[in-house]
Amino acid sequence: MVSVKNLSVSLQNKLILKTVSCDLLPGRITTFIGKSGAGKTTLLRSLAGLAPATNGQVLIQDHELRLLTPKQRSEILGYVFQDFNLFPHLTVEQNCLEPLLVHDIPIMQAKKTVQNMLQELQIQELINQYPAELSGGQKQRGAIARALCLKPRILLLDEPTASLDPFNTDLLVGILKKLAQQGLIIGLSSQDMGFVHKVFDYVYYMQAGQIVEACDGIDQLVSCTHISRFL
Amino acid sequence: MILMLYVPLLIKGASITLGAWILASMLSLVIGTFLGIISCRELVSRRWQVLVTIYTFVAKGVPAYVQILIAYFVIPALCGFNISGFWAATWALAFCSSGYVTQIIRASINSVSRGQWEACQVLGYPLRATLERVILPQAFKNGLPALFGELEQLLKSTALLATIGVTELTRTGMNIISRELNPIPVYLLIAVVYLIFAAVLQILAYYLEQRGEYGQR
Repeated sequence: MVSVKNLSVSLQNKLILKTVSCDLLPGRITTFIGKSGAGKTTLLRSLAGLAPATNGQVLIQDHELRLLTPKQRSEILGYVFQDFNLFPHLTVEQNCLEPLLVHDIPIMQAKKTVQNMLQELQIQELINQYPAELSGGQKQRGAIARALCLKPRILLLDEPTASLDPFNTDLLVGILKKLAQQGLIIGLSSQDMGFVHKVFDYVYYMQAGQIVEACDGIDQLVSCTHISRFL
Repeated sequence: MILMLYVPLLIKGASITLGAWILASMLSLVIGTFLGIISCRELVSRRWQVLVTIYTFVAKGVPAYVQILIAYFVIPALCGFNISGFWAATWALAFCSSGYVTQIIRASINSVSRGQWEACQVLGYPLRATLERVILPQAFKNGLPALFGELEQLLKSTALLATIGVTELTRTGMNIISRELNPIPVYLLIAVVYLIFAAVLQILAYYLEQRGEYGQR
């Protein structure tokens, strides 16, 4: 479980997140929604250690995030960027393999892990392709595969459908639901109403750097005014 | 026909030119890469930035010819040691070129998107792996045309070794001319040899550029 307690984040002397508290639970897809500038991406980036907290704490499996080394953090938490940030000079296979080698995993074991992951995400035929040769959906699955190869227990995705067509969005919904069923903690930010409807599980509504509403399941939606209005 | 008698001398001169160029290039690339890395946007500290700025200002601001004269005459006199003309000029050329290489490498590293650094961070890459496996391969690809331009410039600058009496290719040609009093074929031949070296460099640059396309063609 990821527990965020009174988290505040300032960027360039501007308070972006204001005492945010929330939980991300295993086996559930936690979605952060809200208008642009609400602080969704900053929250996810802070959970991934990319935006240091000015106040508050993030507990990941009872370990405080800021006390973990980047290596320890990457073994617990995978992060998929909005623009994927795949390494352009490496093939899909190398993109997934390199982090494992950096983590001192033996090459044969690493290759097997990568092959299984690419097969699970149905991109094994792209093994020798470079990111520049992939479509948006393929890039995203490559980025998810890269994040999952390190076997994290948490997967965070920033605006995962920003560059996806409806077909690839549905494919992503299937992948995320399957990963959640496997017990992974999934957190994502989105402004895509159709996508949020499809993955609706636990939703937080953010406004001006604060969480103003939470909704536990789509059957509770009628009592959540902000979220139902947004969707 | 007269030139045939001097082929061994010209080969020796060309090998000295090549040796000075290779050594100066290697030194320049090592120094320039190190300074480029420590002064890039993601890693720079204020103190390093000042030091690197002063270094590049001096290296680029003083003409290579003057730097060679200082390295050969002034520094040994001030510090009390002897240095051969070859090594003095090689170090001076490396110093001069490293100022440009530093700026090329720094700009190339800065042209790699911040997202690549962040991707390394979330994947738990230590700094060395971040640079070696992700940032520098992309930076060198971005900076390849400028880097090879600088190496080509360095190749041509080796002719300055002649000014302190090193018998590299140009000096060898001048010696032959003073003996034979026939400058036209000698200077033309020397120009052709430089062009051959430059052509090899350009072919290498083209090959490396093609290799760095990563499916973007």
